[in-house]
Amino acid sequence: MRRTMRTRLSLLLMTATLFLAATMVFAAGSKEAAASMQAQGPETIRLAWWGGDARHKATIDAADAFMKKYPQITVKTEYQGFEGYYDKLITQIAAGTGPDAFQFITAWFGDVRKSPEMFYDLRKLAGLDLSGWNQSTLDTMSLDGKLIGLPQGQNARILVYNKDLADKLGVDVQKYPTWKGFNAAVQAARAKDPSIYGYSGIMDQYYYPLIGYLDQVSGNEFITKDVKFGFSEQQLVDGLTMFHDWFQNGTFEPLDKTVLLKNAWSDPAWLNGNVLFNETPVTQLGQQMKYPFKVGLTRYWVADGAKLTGNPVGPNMMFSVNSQTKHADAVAKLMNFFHSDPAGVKALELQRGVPSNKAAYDILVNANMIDDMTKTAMKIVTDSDTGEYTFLDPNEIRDTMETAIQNVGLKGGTTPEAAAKQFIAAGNRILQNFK
Amino acid sequence: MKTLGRHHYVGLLYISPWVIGFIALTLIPFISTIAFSFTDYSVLRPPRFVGIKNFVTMFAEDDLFPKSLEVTSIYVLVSVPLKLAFALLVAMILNQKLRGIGTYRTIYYLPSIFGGSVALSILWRMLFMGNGLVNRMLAIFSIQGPEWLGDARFSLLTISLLQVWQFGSAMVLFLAGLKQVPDFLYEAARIDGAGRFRIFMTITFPLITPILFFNLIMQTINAFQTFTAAFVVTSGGPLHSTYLYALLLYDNAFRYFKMGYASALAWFLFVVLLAVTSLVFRSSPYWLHYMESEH
Repeated sequence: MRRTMRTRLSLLLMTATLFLAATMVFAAGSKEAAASMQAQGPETIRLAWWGGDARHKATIDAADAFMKKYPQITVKTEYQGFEGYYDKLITQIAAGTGPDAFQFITAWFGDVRKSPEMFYDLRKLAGLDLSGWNQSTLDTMSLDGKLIGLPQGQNARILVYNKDLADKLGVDVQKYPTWKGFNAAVQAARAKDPSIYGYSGIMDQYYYPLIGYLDQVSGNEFITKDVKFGFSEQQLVDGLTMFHDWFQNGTFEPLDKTVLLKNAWSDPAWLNGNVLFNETPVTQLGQQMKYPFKVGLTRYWVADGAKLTGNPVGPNMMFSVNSQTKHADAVAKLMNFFHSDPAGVKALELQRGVPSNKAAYDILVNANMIDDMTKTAMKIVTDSDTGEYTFLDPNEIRDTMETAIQNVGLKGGTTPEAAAKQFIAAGNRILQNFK
Repeated sequence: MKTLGRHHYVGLLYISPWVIGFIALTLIPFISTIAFSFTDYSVLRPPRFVGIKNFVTMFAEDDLFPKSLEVTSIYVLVSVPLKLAFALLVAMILNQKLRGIGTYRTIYYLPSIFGGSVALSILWRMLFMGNGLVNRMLAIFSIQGPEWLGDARFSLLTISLLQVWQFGSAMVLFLAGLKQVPDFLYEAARIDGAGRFRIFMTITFPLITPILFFNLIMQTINAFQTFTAAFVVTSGGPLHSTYLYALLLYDNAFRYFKMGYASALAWFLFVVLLAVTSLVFRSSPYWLHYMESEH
């Protein structure tokens, strides 16, 4: 009798637990059902981006200003550093849990070009104002005729130099615009002070100068629109040989000291004022104003016999909209606010570069918000004969190129010829997946 | 036909949450990856059947596959024996009847509690950076330490040390095994004039081989699957010198979006672990002793 009572009690408790668990699982669905019934009521949209603290603060401020203007719309912000952002975003979108609007770059087109359906065609987004952009700029953000992103700021990579150190060493950086000239100047400086290095950076900051060099000597993008490398194997050998020699002679800081750094400006040698040059995208110039020494700007060095004298300039960053969003109207309002409303534009400042949207640009100019350093940087990069951004920039290609750089820069690596051969073989195999 | 009694149904009901979770989160993905390993699947598009192409790529085209296998094998061969040796040594020390022995046991076990945590890996990175604490301490003795993490000759050893440092769980098991060895065997050996080394080799070691067997298998499986340390501390570099197999799998799955290929890699790892475990089991009759069989 007692046993039967206990069994019945156990059954009752177990059933109650399962019922509770099932209720919690289905409650989430009910919340969505309830939300859809309140179509005209408060709604929440999710906005995701990557960046540093300054960009996070600016974008959050812009979102807060938007919510003040549109109190029935809540903007849930999701932000992080660059590392891991893309992997997380694609995984979320594939799982159907992606944000409504998100920051994206053209370099990821290669991975998504066979899946343009993940993006909302912004030409069909009702209420979105595209009048601030010219057609050719919008075309750079199109895939198969579909406008998949709103171009953000003009961007380019530029050299930053320690002005105090250059003055102390008597190096006039403007006198050495070529790669070889730069090397000669650094060697002359090191003859006076062997603790000085010419350039240092994290792996990204060797990757971009190398592909910039390849763009210059070949006159093509790193990976062209027909999904091939735009340079020859010999041109890559020449570039890697130059890097190899400069890691050996101190023009570049020894790679074993910086190869594992994650933050572009955390190298002790740079922070202590022992390195002449660093580099940065124009959109991150704000970081350059925080050092205990004065910094100057100059354009990338030019290769001998270069077909191009500069580096790619143009908007490569965009805001895109998830094709699965259920809040298209709210997202359109948010995008209009960011690009043509004075409160939104001013809050965003120059955290995504000098705006390519004319309305936003005019607002910032009238408010004197484009600082001298940014104006100088944009003048420097646009004065040269620039090329186009690479059509593709998949992670796998980037990792393979960084391996090639490590092979010529670290003990236990290989020769530039072997490193170039390995890269071309592996790279061509990888590119097959994007054809 | 015998039918289940009421109490059986109650038992099944109690374990049903675990069973549902196991089926949904373990068994179904387990079976799905077999199917995915024969497809080209980028998560953004539906899987496309490609036959054995992923396995051909693995063995004939991907240079990083043999590299990561080599690195992982060295990592396992270095870290597992070292870890077990330290664990046994410390367990033998902690098997003494000393004052405050409970505190010492806690202190030695603490590193294992952190497990494969990211915080611990970051701490390890800071310790072994070029200007980290380790090199600063060496500088006190006028020794210029190498780039422990930036030099391919030392990076794998540094990562292995992190694994070895977390010997606590193996140590606790060895300690339990040591306590099972009957004291009368030690007394008899001492009366017969056996020295410490002889006692260890003929009494202690044979009688703790069951624990050693368990630890060997579990630590080997864990070592093959190590991810956090290599990912956080060195990101697999420099020159892929710490590119453990789990990193290769992660990169292909979540950075290159080649889920089909990553599934093939996962299944290969499963086969390797099965082979290694089988080898240990097959060798066990030659060195494994159970005390019950002796008496």
